[in-house]
Amino acid sequence: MRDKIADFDSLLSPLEKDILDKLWPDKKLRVREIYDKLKTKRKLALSSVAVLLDRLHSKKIVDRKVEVARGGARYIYSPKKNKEGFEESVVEKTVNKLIQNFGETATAYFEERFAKKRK
Amino acid sequence: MDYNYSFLTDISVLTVIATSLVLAFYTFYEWKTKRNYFFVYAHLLFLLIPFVLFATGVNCAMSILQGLVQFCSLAISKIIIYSSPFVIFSAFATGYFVIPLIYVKRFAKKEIKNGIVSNFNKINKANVKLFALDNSNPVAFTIAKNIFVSVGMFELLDAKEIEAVILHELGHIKHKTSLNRLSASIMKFASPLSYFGLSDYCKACDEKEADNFAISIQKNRKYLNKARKKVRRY
Repeated sequence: MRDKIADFDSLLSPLEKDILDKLWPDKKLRVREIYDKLKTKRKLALSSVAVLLDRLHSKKIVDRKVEVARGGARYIYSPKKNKEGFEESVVEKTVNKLIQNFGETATAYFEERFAKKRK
Repeated sequence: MDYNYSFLTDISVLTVIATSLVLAFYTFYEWKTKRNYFFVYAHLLFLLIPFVLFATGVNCAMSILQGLVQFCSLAISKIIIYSSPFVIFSAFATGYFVIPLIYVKRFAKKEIKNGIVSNFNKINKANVKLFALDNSNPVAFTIAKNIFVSVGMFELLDAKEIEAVILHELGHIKHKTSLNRLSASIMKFASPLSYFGLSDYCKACDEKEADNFAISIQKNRKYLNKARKKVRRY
């Protein structure tokens, strides 16, 4: 039971959410640009932003491409989906996971909840 | 072929063998102290001479086994003798040309035009290339005359620290580290002396030389130290 509950914490951390907020809608930004926007709100390191963007990329939430310029190379990150599209996919994944892990308990809860909402 | 011939009584052959062995030991010692790839191939060449003479001399002069063997196995000796230089050359060509080419085609994202590398090429009449590696981890390395620096490294370090890293890699190229390390591997494979644990290649010495090159250009070790610290903490 503990393992099943722990799965849901892995969706997005608060800093990952902040990063995505900077990328929406349809922005293409470098790591340093995102870091510069976030550092005014909270204390963080450039490497932390780089690591989290890499994590978002491996979760297939953001896209990236290599830009070569001024004797160096950088990643340019962009969101794969807009905010609404992302929220939809999160809800879909969460609900599917709940049903997969808790089966009838989850479906019964949803039915009860929708019934209350209709009233 | 005269089956009664014994090379062990031929003074000229014995002199050549003795001289070759002395030179083989001398070049092995020089390789250990100077870590110059030239001595590896000289050592292997000097080892090959007594090997050739010994193999051809023994195979057709084994009068003890004359009743037991039906043929002179000179043909087999010739195959081994003529193929040895070919095997060593192939190993060298694979390590120095083929593998870097495969690596560039497969992993290098894009070539980067960088002022430090261009200056180095002008001064040293070299053809060094710098490539971006599509990797978010901070890594940098050199294969032959190609420097690979990951995008993660460019993201993590500032301009002066990146310069220190590139200069460190250029230091490896200037001191022919790739060639020396490849030659050390060939030596370990091909020379019997390496089995006595005498040919341990000093990788730390290579790193120190490359560091010194970067420091000599930047006139300061702080950028290199800062870069190293940031990469370790990553």
